[in-house]
Amino acid sequence: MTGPLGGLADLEAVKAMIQETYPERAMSGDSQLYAAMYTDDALWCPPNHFDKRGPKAIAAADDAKAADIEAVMRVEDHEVFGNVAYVTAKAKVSVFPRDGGAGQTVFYRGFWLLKRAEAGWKIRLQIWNEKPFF
Amino acid sequence: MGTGARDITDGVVQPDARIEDVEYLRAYILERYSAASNSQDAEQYAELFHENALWCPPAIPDKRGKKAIRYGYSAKDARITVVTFVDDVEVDCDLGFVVGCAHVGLFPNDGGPKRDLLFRVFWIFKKIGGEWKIANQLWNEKIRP
Repeated sequence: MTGPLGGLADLEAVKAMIQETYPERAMSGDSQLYAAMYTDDALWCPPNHFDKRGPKAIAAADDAKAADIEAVMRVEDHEVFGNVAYVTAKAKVSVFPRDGGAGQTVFYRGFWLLKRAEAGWKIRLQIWNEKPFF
Repeated sequence: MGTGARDITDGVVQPDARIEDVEYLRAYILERYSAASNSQDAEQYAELFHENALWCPPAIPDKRGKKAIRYGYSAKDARITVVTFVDDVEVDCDLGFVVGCAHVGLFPNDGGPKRDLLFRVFWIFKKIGGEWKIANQLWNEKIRP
């Protein structure tokens, strides 16, 4: 759905950002590439951990997870209103600790608020929680 | 109508910021949402939301729509006390978001021990028919400092 000023191209762009770009970068193992998706004042809110503000802190948190992941995202609601968009998605994430510990699969629901940037869209807010299943 | 998001979180108001909408949403969460959450009245709580709202609590399945949200609120199997805090509020066109926290006291109906919980909460608001209501809500638990 689009609000005022939000065209189909914007809708496709924000959906692709979360459904394709986000998991690619999250799985890349490159925390700088991951953090580049975020605005300078981005707020990143994981469950059961402290929030992080800004790309530098988000990159450090990504590094600290010390695990490789495989992530599949499926966007559900997404809308564009002018220079702001929101996206909700479900995620299935398999986590493989780098110390060789047992891997596990976790299901998440995530919300993203995006802002239009010079070269596309960037994430301003992200929050997610665990789900028992999808 | 603005052509970009108006950020007043640092106290600097852009020339055509929708101040009244920002303050309305702030008050909605600080006052109306708190009051409804503390009411133990599922109907009053569900009225905060749009008809097709998505409600995403941690660790249990999401609920879609007021009827399901009403059920979800009722099914918590505890009396709760809620105090909300607002960190960020922004409005652009007929979309708004609020980021805040909720301090929740949980008193299980089975007489179990009280739990004190801290949540980060993200609310998406939409203005439909001139009325702001919650379209999406997701929260997760935080480590208490």
